[in-house]
Amino acid sequence: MKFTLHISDTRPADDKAATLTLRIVMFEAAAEETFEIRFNGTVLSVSATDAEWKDSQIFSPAKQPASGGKGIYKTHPKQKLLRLDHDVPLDAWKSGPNEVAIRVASDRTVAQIEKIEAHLKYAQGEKETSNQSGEK
Amino acid sequence: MREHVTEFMHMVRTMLLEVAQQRSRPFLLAARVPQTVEGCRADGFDLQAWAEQQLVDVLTLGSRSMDVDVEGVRAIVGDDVQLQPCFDDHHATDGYRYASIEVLRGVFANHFQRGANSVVTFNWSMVMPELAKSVGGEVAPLTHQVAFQEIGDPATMAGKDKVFAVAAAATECRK
Repeated sequence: MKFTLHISDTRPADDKAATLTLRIVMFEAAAEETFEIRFNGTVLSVSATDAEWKDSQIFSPAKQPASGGKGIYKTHPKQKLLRLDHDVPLDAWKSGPNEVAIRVASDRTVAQIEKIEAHLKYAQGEKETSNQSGEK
Repeated sequence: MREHVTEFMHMVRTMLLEVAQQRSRPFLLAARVPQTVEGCRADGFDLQAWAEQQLVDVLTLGSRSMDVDVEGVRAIVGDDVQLQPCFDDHHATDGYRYASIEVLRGVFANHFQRGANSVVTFNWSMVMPELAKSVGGEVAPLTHQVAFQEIGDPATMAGKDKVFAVAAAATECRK
């Protein structure tokens, strides 16, 4: 599967100024399963894994509810999402549209992708604020 | 259907030009439309005809998705129409309601990078938490207050941490 991920910022001169991490969240995938992740064709390695990741706004296996409502989201205590983080090399990303390609590399034949995010952190940036789309 | 909508826009434009002449100052016309050219066409909005006939000054693009095809719409309407993508935080992109400030920066910085002239927030809380509580209203996250000080200009988001997300990424990946 291929996805387009837009990045507004200009690539810094070196990776000491900023880092980019590609985060992929999956449902019903296990830590031991392998996926081939490419960013503009560059194969990425997993830098962090969390097989107990929770996100109150991911509802699988239930259907996505209608939008709106009170905005009160409760995480299902048994929810187990697989979060895979990948460091993106400086020369692999660019300002504008970037291509993220995900392929199942293990015996599994299908995986449910829930979220794809690129986290851009500047050396002098603030700490991430808490939110409801990905509990820390 | 598209020609009827275009005719309606023509009627409104003509009326506003008359009012503008009476009050001796411009009366601009803005329209809210889907976030893609294909969506506009399916809904009966012929953006190319609107631009060619100079029927609109501002287009507010989308609402439900943080992925807005600013470049595609710009290619159709040219530079004379102002484009302002919209972010609805009540009917938000699935999975991103009350998003972190880093996600909001990523969304709005992308809009500007893709050619937006300005941006629009919709269904955001406009009052301080204390006031919202006092009237029994919904207390929105503090990220909205921070965002209102940053998202109106790429310069105020420059050099700050951001999260860029694929809208509606939820899909099955097969081997």
